[in-house]
Amino acid sequence: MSALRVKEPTIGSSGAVVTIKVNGISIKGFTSESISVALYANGIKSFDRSKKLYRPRGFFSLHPQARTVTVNVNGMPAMNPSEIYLTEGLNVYTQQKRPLSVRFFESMIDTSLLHKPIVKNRLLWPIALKFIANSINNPELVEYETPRAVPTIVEKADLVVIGGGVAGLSAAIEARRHGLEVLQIDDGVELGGEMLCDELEPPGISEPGCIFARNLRKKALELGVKVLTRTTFVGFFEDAALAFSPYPPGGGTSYLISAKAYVVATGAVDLPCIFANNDLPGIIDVSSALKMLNMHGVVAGKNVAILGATERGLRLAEHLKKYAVNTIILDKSKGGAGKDAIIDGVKEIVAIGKDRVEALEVKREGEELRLNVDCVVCATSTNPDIRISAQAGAKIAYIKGLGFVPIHDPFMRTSKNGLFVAGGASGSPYGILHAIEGRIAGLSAAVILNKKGAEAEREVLAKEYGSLLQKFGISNLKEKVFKSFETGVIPDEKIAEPPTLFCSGPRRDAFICFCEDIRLWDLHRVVSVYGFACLEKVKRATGIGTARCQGRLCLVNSALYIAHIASLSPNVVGIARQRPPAISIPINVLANMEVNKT
Amino acid sequence: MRVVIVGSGIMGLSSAYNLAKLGVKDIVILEKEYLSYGSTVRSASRFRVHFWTEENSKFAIESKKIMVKLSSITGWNMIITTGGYLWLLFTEEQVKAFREKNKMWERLGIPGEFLSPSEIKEKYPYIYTDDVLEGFFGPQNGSCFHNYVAFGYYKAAAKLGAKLFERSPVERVLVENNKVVGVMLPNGKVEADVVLLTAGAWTDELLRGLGIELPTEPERKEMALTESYRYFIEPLVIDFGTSAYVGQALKGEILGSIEVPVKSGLLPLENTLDFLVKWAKAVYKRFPVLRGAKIMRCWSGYYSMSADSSHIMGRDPDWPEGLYVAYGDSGHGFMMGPLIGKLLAKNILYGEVDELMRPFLPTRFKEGKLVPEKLVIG
Ligand SMILES: Cc1cc2nc3c(=O)[nH]c(=O)nc-3n(C[C@H](O)[C@H](O)[C@H](O)COP(=O)(O)OP(=O)(O)OC[C@H]3O[C@@H](n4cnc5c(N)ncnc54)[C@H](O)[C@@H]3O)c2cc1C
Repeated sequence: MSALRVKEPTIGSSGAVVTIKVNGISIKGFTSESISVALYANGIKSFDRSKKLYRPRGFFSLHPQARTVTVNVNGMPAMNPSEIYLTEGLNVYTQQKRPLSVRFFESMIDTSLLHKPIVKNRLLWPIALKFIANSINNPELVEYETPRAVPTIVEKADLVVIGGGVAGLSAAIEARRHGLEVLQIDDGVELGGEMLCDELEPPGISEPGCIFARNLRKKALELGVKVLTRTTFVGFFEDAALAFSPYPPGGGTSYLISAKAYVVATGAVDLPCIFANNDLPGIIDVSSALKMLNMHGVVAGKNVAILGATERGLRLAEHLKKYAVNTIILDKSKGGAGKDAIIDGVKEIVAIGKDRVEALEVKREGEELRLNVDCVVCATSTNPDIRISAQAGAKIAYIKGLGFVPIHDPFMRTSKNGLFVAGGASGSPYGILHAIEGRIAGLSAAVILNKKGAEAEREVLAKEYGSLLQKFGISNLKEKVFKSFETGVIPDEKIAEPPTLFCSGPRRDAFICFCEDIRLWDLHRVVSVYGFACLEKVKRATGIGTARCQGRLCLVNSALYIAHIASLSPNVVGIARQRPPAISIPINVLANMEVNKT
Repeated sequence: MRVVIVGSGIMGLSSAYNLAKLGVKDIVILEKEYLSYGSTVRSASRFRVHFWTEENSKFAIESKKIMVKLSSITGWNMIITTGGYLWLLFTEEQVKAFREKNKMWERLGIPGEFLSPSEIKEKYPYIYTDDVLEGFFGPQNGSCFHNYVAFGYYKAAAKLGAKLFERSPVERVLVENNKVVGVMLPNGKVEADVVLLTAGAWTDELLRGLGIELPTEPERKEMALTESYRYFIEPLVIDFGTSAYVGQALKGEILGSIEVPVKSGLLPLENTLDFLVKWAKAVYKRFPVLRGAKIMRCWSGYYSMSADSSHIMGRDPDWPEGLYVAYGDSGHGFMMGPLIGKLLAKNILYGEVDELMRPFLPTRFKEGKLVPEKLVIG
């Protein structure tokens, strides 16, 4: 067992130990964990090199849609290591090299193919072009035997609940109780979501989160909720809704979904913090740190720096402390100091390390510190996962304090008929609120399907919801959302510095997009030199949000940063259009589909 | 003199740039959404010189000359590649028709090359050719980066004084005494001496508001894009059997489209699974190496289809004075845009009708002098 494994995995009945090969060397892992977790647990943090600058890349998040790295698996290139679970004898290759020529021409690639001397010289361009094409670090396609195609499966239900966390489970239970046929889709190995990784008592709940989540799951299954795990709801096309499971690897299984109502309970996205060298392997999000620890028994590091003295940050620290991990919390605001292990008033951070983070240089008022760490966790802020709601056509707006949220009412209805949101996906903070919102959303689905009694129950719950919002002190924020839903008017407030920013200038080594190597400097230039401030244009000028993770990690940060430097409301900057599929689908799977089946 | 340009796609922007270059100081570009919201940034950004009609081929040859120089003009790297277009032909008739046309293309100085299936295999080993009868390769054709073409034109025009107003949808063109006097926005009017309609697929509506009917209509087209892979597909490969096309951007994404039956009109800019599956099936067969490639995104845009599938530019003398159009590009307007702007600017300022432009005047429909373009892709 490696040094980072502190306990047995707690998930899955089939957590058997298997041996896989990584670059020819055998390592051990569990069948309940993805390649990402197994590699991390064995001390392998750098999986890949970045696209333009060949910088070492590890995963930032374990979420299958937050796909910033690829590995070669059993000869198949460009596989998502967070999507594939271990099987005996798996052969994984990571990429570690950085060609010398790239080092030499770095400044050319650095300027995103816009290098002036080459532009001016038309004769040189055809030669440069070949060089550029070859030096972009894209995986090479090879022909491989694609797995025998699994026929498309047609799934019909009254309600499809997207996401199987506490909000999603609560919605499914309520809807099922009122007689709806419910299909629950979740991309994890098992239902339960983030609360499954909480050994403490979440806000408003008087038992450990993992127990609460397990009980909900049990109840949902007992009530006959149909479940698809390791499956991603891919999106709404004009003529169909699609879900996809990347199994067998290299191919996959597709599901044509038809339902009368949808509850989007896809949770929230941890935003990466922006500071110098924030792309180094070993810098991860809270949800991954929690997941690794409480599901897979792997601690994220021995000396962990947590950015953000937020509920999530503090919760992670509590968990890690139980396993003798040294944690230190860094926060931007002042006044947190004095409490144990919080450094407050942090202005700037620089990460140090060659192919993994080894230390942080921290600047705070009148002081510079150096912290030796082996892991940095970003916990300053989250944003609702708006991918699916936005795709469906629900209105999205920025509400200060909540982020970009799907505008909804206290019954969790969005501006799209038949589409409801709940939990983190609606901008609510973690805890009991997720459960109650889920229940309301489930009841709302029952109401539009004319189920008796659902409306009265919803009325009662909505009252309780109102007082809970008050109790948690976010009723004024949520009221803004409800009001926007009612009036159709979205607030037009400017924002201060984004909470994720730990960087004083537009640095060339502070990354916004890990897929395409887009830095603060690139964004800043587009705003200040070209005068673009609308995210759609910035996206087209820089490529932000157009690569593998489809903007999951970069769009919100970009919008907030641009709003900040252009002194605009984030609602003016906007968030770029979301389109299907939410997760990439191999051509062999699509080619095997018959759409006219439904 | 004030010129109001409605729409900030390539047509509007290249016209604005050329007008500004010829000295027009007061140019106002009105855009209903944001800079280049329309087809321009939704296109496959390919250019070619091979067209079925001589008029279009000649036009495209000259337009390409501007396109490849654009980087030096605007300072934005257009990332021009000339990997060629490869048409895969499956029937004797298709081959015969291309051989016939190649005589014309030879005469115009743009000969293509006929490749046997084994020659294709040798040059492009990743293409499945067992069912292919012959290939036609046009080495003069290529691609560029559409976003930078649009932004580059815009920046160059803005530098010369043209002004862009976004979120300014023109509701109608104002006419007094058979002369345009301005355009109407939701919050007021903008005066103008000349109004140039370059609103792409939305132009029909604006013309109809003036009682002008031209045989054009929007058609929604979808596109799909894979994740990035090492650059290897140099040409744009067009499967004449299925109508599918596939190409790769220098940055690595492989993109393409296929025709699916849709109603014409301004359908919502959504995507269908039907399209995605059909394209995937075509790619699966034609490019075995792409079977494991992953589709990352799809989007849609409009072709502004004209009755003869050729673009429309200039004005009809029967129209109100000062009214000009450039649209109806039928899916190949992006590549024609640079020359359209150049010729149109001269037309507007000096009344000059260039010989290359003459066949594309809007009067051709009532005069029955169509330019029937059969080589439409997608
Ligand atoms: C999927 C696809 C692939 C294509 N591939 C190619 C290709 O490979 N090569 C090629 O040459 N061509 C291609 N085309 C065609 C090419 O994109 C178009 O011909 C070209 O972009 C048209 O430019 P435009 O300026 O006329 O129109 P657009 O780019 O559509 O611009 C029109 C603008 O007008 C604005 N507008 C509309 N109405 C109003 C109003 N009332 N007031 C103010 N503004 C308004 C719109 O918002 C829009 O921004 C493709 C098109 C599509 C859809």
